[in-house]
Amino acid sequence: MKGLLLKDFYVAAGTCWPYLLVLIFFGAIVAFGGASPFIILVGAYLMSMASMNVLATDERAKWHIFADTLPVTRVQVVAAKYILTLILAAFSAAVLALSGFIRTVNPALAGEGYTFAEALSALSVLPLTASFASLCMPFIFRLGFEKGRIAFVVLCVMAGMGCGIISSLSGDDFPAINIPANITLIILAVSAAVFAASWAASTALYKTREF
Amino acid sequence: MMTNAVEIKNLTKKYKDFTLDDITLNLPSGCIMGLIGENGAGKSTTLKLILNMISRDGGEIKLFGKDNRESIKLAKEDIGVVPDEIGIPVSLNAKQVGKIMANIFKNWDEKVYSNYLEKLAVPEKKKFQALSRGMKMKLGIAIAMSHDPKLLILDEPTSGLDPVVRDEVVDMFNDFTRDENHSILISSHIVSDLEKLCDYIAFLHKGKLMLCEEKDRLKEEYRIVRGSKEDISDIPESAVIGKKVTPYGVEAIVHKNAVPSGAEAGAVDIEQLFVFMVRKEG
Repeated sequence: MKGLLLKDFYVAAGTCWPYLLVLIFFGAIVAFGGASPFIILVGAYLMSMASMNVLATDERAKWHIFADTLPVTRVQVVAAKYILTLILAAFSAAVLALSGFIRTVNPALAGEGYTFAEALSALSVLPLTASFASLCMPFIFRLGFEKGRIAFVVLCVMAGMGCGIISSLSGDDFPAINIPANITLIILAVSAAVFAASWAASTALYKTREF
Repeated sequence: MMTNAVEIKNLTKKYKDFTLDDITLNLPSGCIMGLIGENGAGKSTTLKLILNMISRDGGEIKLFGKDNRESIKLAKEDIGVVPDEIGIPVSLNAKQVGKIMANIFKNWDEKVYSNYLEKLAVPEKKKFQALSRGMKMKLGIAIAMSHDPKLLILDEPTSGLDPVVRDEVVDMFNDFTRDENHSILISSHIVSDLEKLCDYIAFLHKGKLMLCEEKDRLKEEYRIVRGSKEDISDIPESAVIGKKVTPYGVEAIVHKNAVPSGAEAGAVDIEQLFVFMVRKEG
């Protein structure tokens, strides 16, 4: 398991650094440019997509077949990808929290009425992005990335539409996110349930897949 | 008592357009068995079934005496596999692969791995995508042999290697089986390599096992006879393994006891035997 995670880390480091740069860039805009944390959610979403990028890289290399010859189980192969998704989402959350914190203490942005609590509330959307990203993973684990990416495309279209709706409702390109605590809890619970269900489905589907 | 590293009994796997049909073979510990067959004969399917990568429709497979479905993770600790394509993600290098494998195999030996990389001249820091096919195969061989495996399963391991390196690799495999607990199951199109290497030969054709026999016994039992059609027609059909008719005469592989006296008969090599058998079967 540790070996699988290490491999995913190496692959993510080698192939997903553009996502990281975008995330840090957006984080800097929030922290120093005064933009709303909404913008960083795009970066966070990209990070959660990075685990799918690793899946695609694996498939191109036929790692999934090679891994089957090693003393690891398919349950572990699936688990490594979900853990990677969580790690990347947590990393995004850390960048977001740091950006929010810097913003609140940034003298240049004093008086803009943006609070640290607001920045933190945006964090609750991160589990949602992780679970949202995990929605297409069962398709990929069952059908492979080539076919499973249809789910990925649908997901991206839905995310784009969601962002568009939020922007149009707020009348701002990058609206502020201020989610009440009770809604945050619901989002967290739903996200965790979706993520867990996705994990279980991927495991069940991948166990019986034949290459 | 000689134990078997691999025991396969009545193994069957059905696909829409192909059936691996009732395969039975044993690979004794300390021996090397070569799987020979044309493309699509069922070699890779057999290897995948042994590793439990696909599910079987019938029969039994035992690895080191235990059903492969019950203890495959444990068994894989003792198996080194070189698949026909080494599935390393392109951005990784050999050094990173070593660190990954050290966390996957309990018995991974970093020093042994480094020695193999050096011996096979595989650069440690070059990305996998920048390696030639031969170099990728050599990295696969180093990975397969660095955790003290008891069994090597090799799918076309020498393809893409130049003749000099191929010879070195064949020597490495020979060294590996000096230990009587070490065995190799190898599939290859390069029959000359298998002839150099193997103790046992198994012929697969269209999903059926045509024969599985000791190599020396095969070479001992059969002869290639050259002559006119009339010369060959004297040989009982049941003794003829296969024949090839050319404008210059007929070549036939026959049981040595059926070689007519005075006929021009020579030793047969494994490639000839395989080609003639396949032609007879159609």
